[in-house]
Formats: sequence, C-alpha cells, structure tokens
Amino acid sequence: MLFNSYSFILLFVPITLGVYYAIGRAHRPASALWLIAASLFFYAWWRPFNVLLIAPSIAINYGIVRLLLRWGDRRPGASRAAFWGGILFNLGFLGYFKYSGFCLQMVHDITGASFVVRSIILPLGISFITFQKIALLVDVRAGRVTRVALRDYALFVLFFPQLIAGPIVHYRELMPQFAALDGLPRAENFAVGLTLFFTGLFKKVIFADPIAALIAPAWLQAAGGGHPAFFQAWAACLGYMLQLYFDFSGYSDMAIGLARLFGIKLPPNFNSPLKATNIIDYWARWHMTLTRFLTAYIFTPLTLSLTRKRAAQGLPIMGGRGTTLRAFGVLLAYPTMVTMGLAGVWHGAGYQFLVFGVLHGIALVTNHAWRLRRPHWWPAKSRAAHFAGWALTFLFVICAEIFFRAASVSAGIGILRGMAGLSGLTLPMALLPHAQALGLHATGVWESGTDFVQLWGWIGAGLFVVLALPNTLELLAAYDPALGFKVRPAGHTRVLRKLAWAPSFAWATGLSAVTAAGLLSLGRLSDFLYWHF
Amino acid sequence: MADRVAAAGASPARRFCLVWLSMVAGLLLATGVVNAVIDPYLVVGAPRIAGLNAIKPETETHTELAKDYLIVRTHPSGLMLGDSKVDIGLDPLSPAWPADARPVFNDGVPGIRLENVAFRLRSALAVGQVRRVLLLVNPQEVMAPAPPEIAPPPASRGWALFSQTAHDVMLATLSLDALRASFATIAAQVRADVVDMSPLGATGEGGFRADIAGVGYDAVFVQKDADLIARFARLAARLRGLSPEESENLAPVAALIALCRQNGIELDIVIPPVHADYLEALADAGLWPRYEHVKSSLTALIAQDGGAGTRLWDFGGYDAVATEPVPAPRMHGAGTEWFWEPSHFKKVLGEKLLSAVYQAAAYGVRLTPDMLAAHLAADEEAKRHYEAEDAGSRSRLQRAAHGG
Repeated sequence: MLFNSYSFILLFVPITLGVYYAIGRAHRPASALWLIAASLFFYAWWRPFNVLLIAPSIAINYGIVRLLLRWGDRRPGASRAAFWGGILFNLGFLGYFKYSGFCLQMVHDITGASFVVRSIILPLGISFITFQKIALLVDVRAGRVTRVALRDYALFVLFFPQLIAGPIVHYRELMPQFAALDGLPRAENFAVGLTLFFTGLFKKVIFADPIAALIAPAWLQAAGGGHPAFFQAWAACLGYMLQLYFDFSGYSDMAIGLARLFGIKLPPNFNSPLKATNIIDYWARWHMTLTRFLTAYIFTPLTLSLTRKRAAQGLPIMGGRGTTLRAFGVLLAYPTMVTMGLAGVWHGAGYQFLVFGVLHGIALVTNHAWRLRRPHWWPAKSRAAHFAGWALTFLFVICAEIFFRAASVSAGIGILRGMAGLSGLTLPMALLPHAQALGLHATGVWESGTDFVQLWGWIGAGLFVVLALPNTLELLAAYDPALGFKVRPAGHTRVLRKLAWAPSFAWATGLSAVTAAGLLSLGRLSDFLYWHF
Repeated sequence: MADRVAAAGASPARRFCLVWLSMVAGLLLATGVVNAVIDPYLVVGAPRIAGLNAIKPETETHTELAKDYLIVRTHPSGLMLGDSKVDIGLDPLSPAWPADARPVFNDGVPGIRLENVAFRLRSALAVGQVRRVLLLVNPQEVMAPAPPEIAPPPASRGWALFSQTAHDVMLATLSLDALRASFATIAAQVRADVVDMSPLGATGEGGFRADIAGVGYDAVFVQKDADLIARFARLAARLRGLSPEESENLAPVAALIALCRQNGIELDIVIPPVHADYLEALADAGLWPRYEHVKSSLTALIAQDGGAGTRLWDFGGYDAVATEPVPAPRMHGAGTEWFWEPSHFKKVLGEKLLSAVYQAAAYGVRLTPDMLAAHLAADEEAKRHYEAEDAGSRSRLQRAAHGG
C-alpha cells in the first residue's frame, strides 16, 4: 500500500487511527497488538508472501535478542557467537535477496563464467528492516537495551510509518515513547502530524512526480546508448536531484507525520541538504538516520579498532594539523572509503551504486584533508568562501547523483558528456525562433516545447524551494516535530520567523490548499524511490 | 489570525484541524464542480458553451480518454480506425460517406498499435450498430513483429468497466490535472490555431497550423525526416537477417478482418498517402522492398475466403500527390496543398481519399490479386522517375541526416 494512494489516506489511516485510539483508552496492550496487525496488513498489501519471508526473520532475531539478554556477560563466548550468528544471518538474508544477482554478475565479469540466475523479488523495505534489526542486536550486546518483550520487538520492527523506508530508528528511541503513551488522542499531535504528512505528500506529487515524468526521456535516451544534448542533460541531472530530494524528504515527512498521529516522534531524516556548504555537512543533512547508522555501526568501530591497534604499536594517530599522511590514510581515508562503498551498494546492487559511494567517499576524504591542511590565508568565514563551498558541494552532489539514477555507468557518463557540451545543443522546434532571437544557435528537434519549458519551470521552482525556503521541520520547530530536531543557527532567518508554523487560521488555510492539491494529484500512482532499496 | 482560531473556544490545535478539514472539503467540491462544467477531456458530456468551453484543446493529450466517452454518446454506424493520420486527417462529416455509415465516428488514436485497434472496434460494437469500418494500416507496422511490451488492454465488462469508468470520471473531475486543463480550456477559447475535438471524434488541424506558423514547412519537413530516418534505421536493424515471410505481422489485421466478418461489417483497409520524403527515407533504410511486399501480403490476406466485404486500397505510392513540392526555407506565405509533414496528410487529402473509397473518385488504387504485379511495377517505375528528377526530397533528407 502506497502512502500516496487513496486507499491508504482515506481508508487505512483513518481506520487504523480510529481503532487504535478507541481501544487504546481502555487497553493499551491491545492497541499495540492492533498496530502490529495493521502494520502486517500494510506490509502484506503489496505482496502477501513477503509476510511469510519477514516473519521467520523477525522470530529468529527475537530469539537471538533473548539469548543475548540471558547470557550477557555471564557467558561471553556463547553471547559473542549468538551475536555474530545474528549479524551473519541478517547480512545473509539481505545478501541473498539483494545481492546474489549482482555478485554472480561480478564473478561473470571477472572470470567469464556463466550462471543461470533466477529472478529474486526483493522483499519491500528489506534494507531498512535489516539495519534496524542489526542495530538492536548491537545495542543489546552493548547493554544499551536491557529488556525486550516480543510484542515490543514486533512493534519496533513493523510499525508501519517507518517500516518500508525509515527513518531508521533505534529501539531505545521508539519503545520508551510507546510505553509513555496514555492512549488519548491529542489535537496538537494531529495538527502537527497532518501538516507534516500533507506537506510531504505535496512534495511528492506536486514536485517529484511531474519532474520525474519530464526528465524520463533523457534518462531513457542515455540508457539506450544515446547522447542527451546540453540542455536535456542538465535538466536530467538537476531534475533528478530535485526529484530524489522531494521524493525521499517528502516520504520522510509523511512517515514522521504519520507516527506523530499515533503520538510518536521519529528522528529527522533531512535538514535542507542542498544548502550544505561542504560534503561533510551534506551527509549530516541528507538521509540523516542512515548517516547516523553508518557512522555508529561501521565507521566509528572501524576507526576505533584501527586507532587502538596503531596506538598499541606506538604509531602516530590522528592529531589535528599535525596528523601524518599515513595516519590520515589508515585512520580516516580507509574507514571513510569502506563506509561509503558499503553505503553505495546498500542503495542498490550495481556498479553505478558503487561508483556513487566511492565518489562520495573520495569527496569526504578530500573535505577532511582540506579541514586539516587548509591554508591559513583561506577566508573560511567569509561569504565568498561560503558561496564557493556551497557551489562546489552542489555541483559535486548533482554529478555524483547521476550514477545513482543511471541504468549503467556508461549511461551516467553519457549524461556527463551532455552536461559538458560534448553532445551538442538542441532545442524543441517550437522554441527555435525564440532562441534564435536571443542569439542562441541550436539544432531543432521534434520534442514538445511545452514540456521543455515546463521542466525548466519546475526546476527553477524546485531550486527556489530547496535553497531559499526553510524546510518543513524548521517551520514546525516550535512544536517538536521530530526527535531531537533543532534549527541550526544559520537557519534562524527572517523568512523562518515570518513563516513559522502555528495552529492558526492562516496555516489551516494554507495547509488545506496543500492538502487539496496533494489529494487531487493522486491519480498518477507512483511509488517512492527509496522503497526499492 | 491565530486569535480568530483561539476565539472560538476550542483549543487552537483542535480548531486548526476543523478549519483545515472543512476547507479541504470545500476545495475538493469546488474543483469537482469547475471540472464537471468545463469538461476539458469530454468525459462528463457537459454542454459546449461558446466562449467558455466550446473548444477542447486538452483533448490533444487525452485523445483516447475523450474518444472512449464520445463514442458512447455517438452510437456510430461508421467507424474510422487507425493512428493520428486518421485522427487529424479524416472527417466524419465528409459528404463522401455512404448513408448507411452515418453517424460516422473518428476513432483514430495517435500512436496506437494495430494490436490495440481490435479492442477499440469491440468497444464500438458494444455501443453501436457498426456497419462500415475504414481501417488505416501503416505498412511499416506490419513489417515487423509487435514489440513484446505491446499487449491489448483487457476487455472491460461488469465490475471492471464500472471501476474504469469511476476512475476516469474521478480523473476528469477530482484532479489537479483536470483543473489545469479546465483553466487552459477557458483560456484557449479566444486563441486561434488551437487543437479541438469535434463531437464525432475528429481532431482539428490547429496544432499543425501553429507549428508551421512558427518555423515554416521546410523546417517541419526536415525535422520529421530526421525522425523517420532514425525510426526506419531501428526498424531495419530489427529486421536484419529475417525474410518478409518470417517477420511480417499480419495477425492483428487478420483478427480485425475476422471480427468485421463475424459482425457483418463492410471493411475498407487503407494504406495511407505519405509524402515522397517518407518513401525515400524508407528506401534509404533498405525497406522499400518490404513496403511493397506488405502490399502483396495484405492483398493475399484479404483475398482469402473470396475477400467478401473487405477491400484494400493503396494511396501510398509516388503519385502526383505524394511528390508535391515543399516550399524552400525562406519562402514565406507559400505552403503545401496535401501534407503537413511527410507522414501526416491534410483534411483536404483525407476528403479526396474518402471520395475514392466510397464514391469511386480517381485517386489511389484498389488492390486485387489480378492487378497487383502490374501496380507494383508501376510503383517502381514512378519511384525511379521521381528519384531521377530529384524534386527536393534528397536535399531535405541530407540536411535531416546531418542535423539540419
């Protein structure tokens, strides 16, 4: 069931909410069971067989969690074995469904050996569900979680607002909130939740979907070995960046809003990433819960382990501007590249995702190196440096994103060639006379001039929204929209002060227009990009 | 503003939710009413009011949807089937139509594949007593097997039909696309050269007129030539190594013939007129022999079972119409008589075609097994003659191949 469907918005959510609060007042455990049942129904809607796949995985993970809790420090060997068994089980589960085809393809590419690969349908949300289960195993082993009941575990994994594509949430963030609920509906939760949900829907159906339809021909052309020309390649690149942002941040807003309707606050996932002035800052704002997971469970443990090893051997470790090249390489560059390579292939099984991850890894390493060895004369705090940092980051992010969307590495290179002007300059026939009047000499092609103008109009409007306006969470900051969300100092602008959300008549009117626009655009069904990961 | 909300006594958040809910309901209702009155896609069947919604430009992008509902209101006896050439080039009100075919409905849909035409005929049979069908067949579509992604839509009956209708009405009334289309419809009432669809399904020529006014005939021909060169190159690549007998896709035509015979329908199959640029692009891709072979195959197909009630007409050769000159790049004011561009003929030529089919006017040829060989030989000779004279196609095709 899609968040952006009539059946979900007009039937599933009202019924689930209605029953949840009706029984929640009298019997809270029953309301939790109802939420688990509704979440299973939500998950089964897409393909009922997936429930049969996911249920044993939940049962096995819960069993391992129980073993870890029982054995703890008393039986360290058995506890370690259960922990690593659990990790391997989850990675194997993810690997079989998501990566077996890709791995066989790699073996074929390297050795030339041929395989008959059966098509394996990826269970919805498997990457997100697996991450949450692994995170809980780590937290239990580290002693950060000391009690887990089966009902709570099932609710933690299955809670439908975050089930398919996050935000990736920790057990210790979610379950205490459920425990503290009194089962009564709160008008403020509804007002904030509805604002978040319908703003997210608006981003998805008013920005992401139309842009996706308009840039599709250029990506299709590149996938077929064609060479999109200059304007088409730039539109494809900028348009996809905006599509991805509005799609995923829209989804995240909807998920956070839905959870809020049940009285639950999820962690923030986006904080205006395209305003970032360097790539480290970008990853602190883009898919924040993934960054948090990768940092906590891959980068930091790897770095700590390597640091301890070097320290034990008496070798230099990271030490500000005095850091040696070798220490930098081993303790920062290597863990960053490993983490980002894994982040790339986590998004999808394909070389282009690996390229995407590696490119971001290189950028992060470069950014860290710049921070360590930046020349003293560089005016880091000046507006010009700020703008240069933003421009460089933005350009890098949109170029790297090409490999995220491209059907293959060569298709991605085709788009980059077009952006560099190596595939000529073309315009729709209908626009040629106007272009010639402006002194622009392009070749006329048989494509819709209206679509061309519309696409650039959407790109302009989209860039204005993401670069000039506060984001949804900032607008709602006074009402605690997401777990631990705070407006950054630079975000406290005059525009934010003027537009800040309040339960006022003006906001009710504005939100009703946003809601109506969203509901009136549900005819074109399209799923969310991150539901595929 | 916040005070106004709080003043009502309820908590601001509660009041906010109530105001929001009532305004959403109001906005949805208003949108539905506007769209139902303007009826931009002709789904609702609202009356056409001059100056408000009489012209329907948005049907250009929703042709199939509009025709699905127009045909139900027409109950046609005569039906024209095919792609955009039918949609734009043939007039259901032509005096050439025999009396037993009236009312005639233009059911041409841009880009439709032959595989899906039978579905449209079945839908028409469900709502009218169809007696005559004119079917336009593009030979290049018959040359190759259908792409795998082409699948005819499932027949809509009972609950499926109800559900589809409800979905269409919802999209035509309660959607932002329809609201935008309604405003565009109102704005278009005072503009010249806009696309319109008549109550009998014919799309006007406003779109082509606007294109020509913008860049001129030569540019439009050259660009379409470029498009044809690319398309025929892809087709030739698909057909490489296959004989015509192995590759030709006659099944959809055979299915349509059978369906017409089952229902006692008089069927006229038409190979459409195209400009010489089109034929030359086809020949350059090495497809000319296959083009001629399709004519033979269709003739043989129709002759099976004595050819009762079915006739095949060929307008797709190098005749005086197809070889009409195209004005040079800077000849302002000059135009063509018969073609908008190499593959789309004007309504005036559509009229000539209908007169030939239904009133025996002198244009085109009715293909039968007896005269086929002589006709193909004459076609070949006309082609050689045209190429020897070089009346402009070669230069346009060269410019098209080299990017204008």
